Amino acid sequence: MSASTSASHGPPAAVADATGPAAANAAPSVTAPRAIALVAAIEIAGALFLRQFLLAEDWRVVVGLLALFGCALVAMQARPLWEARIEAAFAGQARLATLLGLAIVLVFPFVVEKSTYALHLLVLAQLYAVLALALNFQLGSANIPNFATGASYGIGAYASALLALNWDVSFWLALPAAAIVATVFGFLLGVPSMRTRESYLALVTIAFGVVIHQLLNNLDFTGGPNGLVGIPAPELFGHSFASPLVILGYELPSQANFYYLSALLVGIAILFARRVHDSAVGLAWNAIRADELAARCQGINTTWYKVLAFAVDAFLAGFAGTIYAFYVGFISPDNFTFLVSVTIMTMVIAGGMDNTLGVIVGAFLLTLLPEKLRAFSDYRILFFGVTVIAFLMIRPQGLFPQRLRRYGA
Amino acid sequence: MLTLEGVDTNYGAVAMLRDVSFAVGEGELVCILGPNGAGKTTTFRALSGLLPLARGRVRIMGQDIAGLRTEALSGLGVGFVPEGRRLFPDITVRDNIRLGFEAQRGTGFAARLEEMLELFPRVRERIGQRAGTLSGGEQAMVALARALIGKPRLVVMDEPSLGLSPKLIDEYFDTVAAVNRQGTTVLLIEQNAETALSIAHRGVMLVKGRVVASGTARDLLDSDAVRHLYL
Repeated sequence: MSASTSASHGPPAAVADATGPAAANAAPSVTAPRAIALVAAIEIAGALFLRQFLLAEDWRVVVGLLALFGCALVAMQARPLWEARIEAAFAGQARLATLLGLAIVLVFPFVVEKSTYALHLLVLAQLYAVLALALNFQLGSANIPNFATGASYGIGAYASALLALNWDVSFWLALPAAAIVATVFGFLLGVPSMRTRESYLALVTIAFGVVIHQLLNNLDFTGGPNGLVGIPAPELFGHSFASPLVILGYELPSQANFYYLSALLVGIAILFARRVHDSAVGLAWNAIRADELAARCQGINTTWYKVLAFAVDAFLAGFAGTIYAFYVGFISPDNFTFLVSVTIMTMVIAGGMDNTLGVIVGAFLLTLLPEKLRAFSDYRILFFGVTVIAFLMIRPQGLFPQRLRRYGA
Repeated sequence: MLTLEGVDTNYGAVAMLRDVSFAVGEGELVCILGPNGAGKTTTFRALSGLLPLARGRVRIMGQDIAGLRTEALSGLGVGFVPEGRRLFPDITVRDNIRLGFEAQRGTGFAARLEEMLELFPRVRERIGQRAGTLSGGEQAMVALARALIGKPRLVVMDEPSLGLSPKLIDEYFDTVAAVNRQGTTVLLIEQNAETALSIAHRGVMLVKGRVVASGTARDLLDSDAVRHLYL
């Protein structure tokens, strides 16, 4: 999955050409056959890496793979020209990169040896990727430190679960309904937050997250600390998502249903993120991030754009929450604590602010790491922290930093 | 087009305004002069709605701006060049200029951009570059293009010549004068009095937050008070 998203890494070639001589100098040209080979090699290597990492049982293999990843980062940092070439290759072969990535995503469940655990981790990683992309609209694009994405995630999960349990609403209807509920809460959070900024704004969002957690914990209709149980699995054309998925005679574990569903959501989130990033809204967010006063002098209504960022974040998080609730079938307030928001924020910062690919890689890394470090038992969170710090020391701007916006008017 | 009537501000000890009044008429090029700490930037903040007034009134296009937010002023037809240019450094020159256009919600950006590039030929070669990588002179041009692209009736500039070489300042002011001749009203807040007065119709001199002299550019250049205090 992580490799497939490389497709979003480069702008379409035609647009890149139009940016003038200066930009052309900055991006070295790569001949088409070499670019094709480079794109294919990187995507397949990325997918293989992910597969080995998912299936690794021995802690030495896990550490070895992490070291390999670290070496790749060191090489990228030391040789900016290589990075620029890879970027140019993906930009020149955007269609190939997308199609190959799509193929890898579709085939991936078949190559993990029917491991339910690996598929489970992939579903979670993809849901976190959506959450990180949601937060990226705020933190990455507009530099709004929102510590309440976990709360929006929870609101989406609870809203859809309550609809399903109390009124037998199907998953497919609960999905948009929950996203709308989460968006309304996003507005409710955004409006009072506008009276504050920076650290104070962060405090308001933390408080909001705590309030939501407390409400879920104490209200009767949300089941209190026991949460909600027995959320039915979704069905599509008579096929229950709780039953194994049979494709061309090959039987995949039931988790594969949710794997494809969450992969679809990641795909939609990527498309959405790119459209918004390239639109006037994304541009205005970047302007607000750089210099709020200058943005206001240009007539940009900073309050409206910031509230909009809250709403967009909550909308996507609501989708992720719904899939989570229907996937695990049981939710409780402890699934949506402040710590979840902090984790999502770490994914965005460590992955690379305002970079779609970076944020997704960050989400995968931070979801899989603690699971793969179980061999260290009590020390695993310590090792997790050390690994994140090490990666950030190698790449201080995040794994994949923001690139220059390039597109026509 | 723009009037200040008896404006007082309470903001810091040095740069506060006391009973500042002046007017800028349609088609004029007026400059606000004064040494450091005279209240020039405070005047900019007061008339752009960034700073609340303690007393007095600011009218733009006849409308009292009390209660209007800064971002609403561009809708009245005002373009701002804030002090230090304040380009958005991490996005391209083209996007910087587009941001000035976007808020007007107009169409025909490409044609309008072309007009701007004819006015600022050197910006054309830099159009795809990160704005932060431009020289001071180029950034000044981009900031002016960003303010002008929305076709404002009035442009307010705060110390646009700061940090430019004398040759660039002359070139820049020639452009400002040309913009004014094409019908845009200009309020130029400027420390560089002699050069500013050479293109302005009228000038207003501030010292310690008060208007100490005002009149036509010719009169101010000749006036002993101004020469003595400042030039």
